[in-house]
Amino acid sequence: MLARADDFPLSLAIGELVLPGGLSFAGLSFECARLVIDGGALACTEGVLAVRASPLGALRMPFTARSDGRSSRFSTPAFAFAGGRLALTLELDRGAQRVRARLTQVELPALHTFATALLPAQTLLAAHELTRGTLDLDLDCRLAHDGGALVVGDCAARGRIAALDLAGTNSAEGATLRFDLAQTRHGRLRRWRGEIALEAGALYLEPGLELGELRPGLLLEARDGPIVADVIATRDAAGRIGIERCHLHHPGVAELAFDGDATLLPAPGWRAARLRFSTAALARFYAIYLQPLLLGSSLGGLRAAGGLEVDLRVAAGRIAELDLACRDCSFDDERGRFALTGLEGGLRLHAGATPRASTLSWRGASLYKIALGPGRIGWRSARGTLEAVDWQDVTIYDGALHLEDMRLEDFGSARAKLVLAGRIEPITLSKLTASFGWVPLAGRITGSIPSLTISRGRIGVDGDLDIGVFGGHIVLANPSITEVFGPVPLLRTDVRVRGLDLAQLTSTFAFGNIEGHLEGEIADLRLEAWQAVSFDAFLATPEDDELPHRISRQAVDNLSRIGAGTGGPLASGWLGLIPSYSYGRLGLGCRLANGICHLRGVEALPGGGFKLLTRGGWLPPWIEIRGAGEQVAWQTLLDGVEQIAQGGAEIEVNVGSAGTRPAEQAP
Amino acid sequence: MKMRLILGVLACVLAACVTVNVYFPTSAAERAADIIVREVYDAGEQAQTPTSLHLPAWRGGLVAMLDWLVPAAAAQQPDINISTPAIAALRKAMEARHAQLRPHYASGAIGMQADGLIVLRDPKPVPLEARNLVKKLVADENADRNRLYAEVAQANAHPEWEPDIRRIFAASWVQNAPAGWWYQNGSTWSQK
Repeated sequence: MLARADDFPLSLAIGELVLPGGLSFAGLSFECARLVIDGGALACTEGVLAVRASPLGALRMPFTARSDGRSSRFSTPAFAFAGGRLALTLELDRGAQRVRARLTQVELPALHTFATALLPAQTLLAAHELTRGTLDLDLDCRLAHDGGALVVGDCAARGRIAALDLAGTNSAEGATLRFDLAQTRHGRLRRWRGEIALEAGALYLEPGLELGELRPGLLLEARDGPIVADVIATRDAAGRIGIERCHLHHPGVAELAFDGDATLLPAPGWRAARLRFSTAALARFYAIYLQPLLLGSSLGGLRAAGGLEVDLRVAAGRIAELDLACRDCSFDDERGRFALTGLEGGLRLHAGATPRASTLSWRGASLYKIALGPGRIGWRSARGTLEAVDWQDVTIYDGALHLEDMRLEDFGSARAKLVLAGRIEPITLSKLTASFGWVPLAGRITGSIPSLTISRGRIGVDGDLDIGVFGGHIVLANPSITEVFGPVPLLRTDVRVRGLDLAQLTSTFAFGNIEGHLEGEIADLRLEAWQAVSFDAFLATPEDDELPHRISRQAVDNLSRIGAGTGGPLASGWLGLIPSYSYGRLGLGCRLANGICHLRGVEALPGGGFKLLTRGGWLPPWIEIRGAGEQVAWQTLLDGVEQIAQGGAEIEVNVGSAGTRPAEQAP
Repeated sequence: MKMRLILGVLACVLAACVTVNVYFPTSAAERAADIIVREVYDAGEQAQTPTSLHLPAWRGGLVAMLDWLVPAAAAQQPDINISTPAIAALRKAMEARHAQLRPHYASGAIGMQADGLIVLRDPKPVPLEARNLVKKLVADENADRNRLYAEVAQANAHPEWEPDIRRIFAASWVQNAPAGWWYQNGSTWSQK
């Protein structure tokens, strides 16, 4: 030990230093022009730490250092570092360690290269290309011991990143960011508070949410001024990241304020929170903030417009209260499945006992290709249910939808469902079918909806859906539709057909006229993507039909094309002069499976085949139509019927090999 | 005598024991996959090349008349049915989506995986404003592909064929892809 202060030069050299992972520093030298040792104190002034070659290039760091046994200090004046300047101070005082650094105009690509080499296990660094950007940073951090590891304790960082170009999962294009961040540490709990402003350029950030296969991101662009986020977040010992506060000022798009207790990672969720946002530019707000969260759902492809204010309160993990206020809002599904335009008013959902009232109106709507008129609903909400208490009938072409019950139950929970009951006032069928581009149908349609439930992409009807059409009824028993807005909606039901007036039905098509009633069943009907894939159907005139049974010559010809081998059997001969004939029964059955329709008629023929139409009436001429074939490809049958319906008389359809008996003359 | 009796019983038992094996129709499945894949990649060209695997679309006139009767023998041919409404809807959706996906295959952003699905393998070529859209397209495409493989197996009354159908489609997506597209080759990515 030296008894008095001495000073002498010190010089150390290391040929190459290779860190774990292969990071290499070559030509290291440590020089101290004046090393002073005084008792237990040690000081170095005019020191220089130099590296000839490193991932950051050549470095020359002047420094001073001193230590008196209880505290130590190492500091550098600003020196050239990664294209900019760095000033560094390290302090150790009674075991407490503190790091202060000031970086000025440091080139971020060089730092990125260095960090990637230093931390090869951090694949996120390697997966990103950082090609441009500078960093100004004032850092003041205290280091703490956590178990055996030295970790960052309380820490503050403020500065600016300019002209950042980053490519990868998270990306930036010409982004300039100002930040003021602080971390406080309480044991193993870390609390972050920060303000970050995107002053220029664009950022695409993945916040870490996973929606099934999707990892959505937010695209932020500072078009109308800085986007400023004020955030308080926490990370506990188990690695859970929570959000206590997030206030966002996005000029021209929205103001958003979240305060509460929410979890971001590993799984998003919230216990108690209040979320408010307002936007006068719903189109941009939807595209930036809502669409990424809805990408995997049927609401992930909307064209939105208007203004919207939302105030949401969450308690015990469930929605306690939700206030929505719309100003000329519109939502239009890009796939044309639904649209709602001109929404005005509000919607208040309340889980408490005190009822909340609200009114919502709209100018127009559509569901698939059905156009709906304007409407207004007065709502009342309490105890987790929203119900319509005042309803203005919604026009559907020249008819209307009248609601007797409309309720949203258990909103905000996985059990949420919408319940509807009501009726459809008569709608002219030609308008409805024209909107679908179908063959125009004559007559009017009515409907009765006993209790329809929409829940988790499934529509179900508790009871029978009764459709009045062609003077009779088509009843769908307990129909259900799953994956309503998916690529392959699936409908299952049993259908009863009662009292359809064939005269009304056939007057719709260029099929020819038939008089009589039509009744029957379509059992186990299964539609996929609105196309029939299986059923067992039989539709026929009832045996005790009260209506006269007459069939026109054209209808006989067309039926024979369906049921026989030769078309136009009545086109020649004296029978062709008679415009219509009596018949006994008319009927056709089809059991559809695997794309093949297995046919049957009103009577089976002894040698095989069937009768589609039997003779009737007291006086000749009598006719009957026989089918000999028993199988037909369903798609071919549809194509043929469609062409007959469109008046394509030149097409001849043939399901049998034996052909129709033209007119069987009575002896 | 006793031996004869035993042999006779054994012969009867053996004669009555018939094993029916239903083999996966690989070549038919490959043809079916190629038809769908080519239609997705370029629907216009394939629409002009009807094959026996299609039930007839609208053909009109006498041709349609001839198609009306479905001979029982033809209906029993070992073939792959890809003509159900669900498969048709999925094909239509995939064909409509492909025009949006194509530039991202070509840029290398999207790659074809060995499991018959696609993935956003490199987001860098995708403009920032298109990132979420491409992610959605990829997710929707994968959902439809998963459904398609299951539907094809289901349509042929063999749900257990789904892994084979998927494997064949995975190969077909790559084989029919233009040069320059990326595909998974083992654990690495290769450019066709």
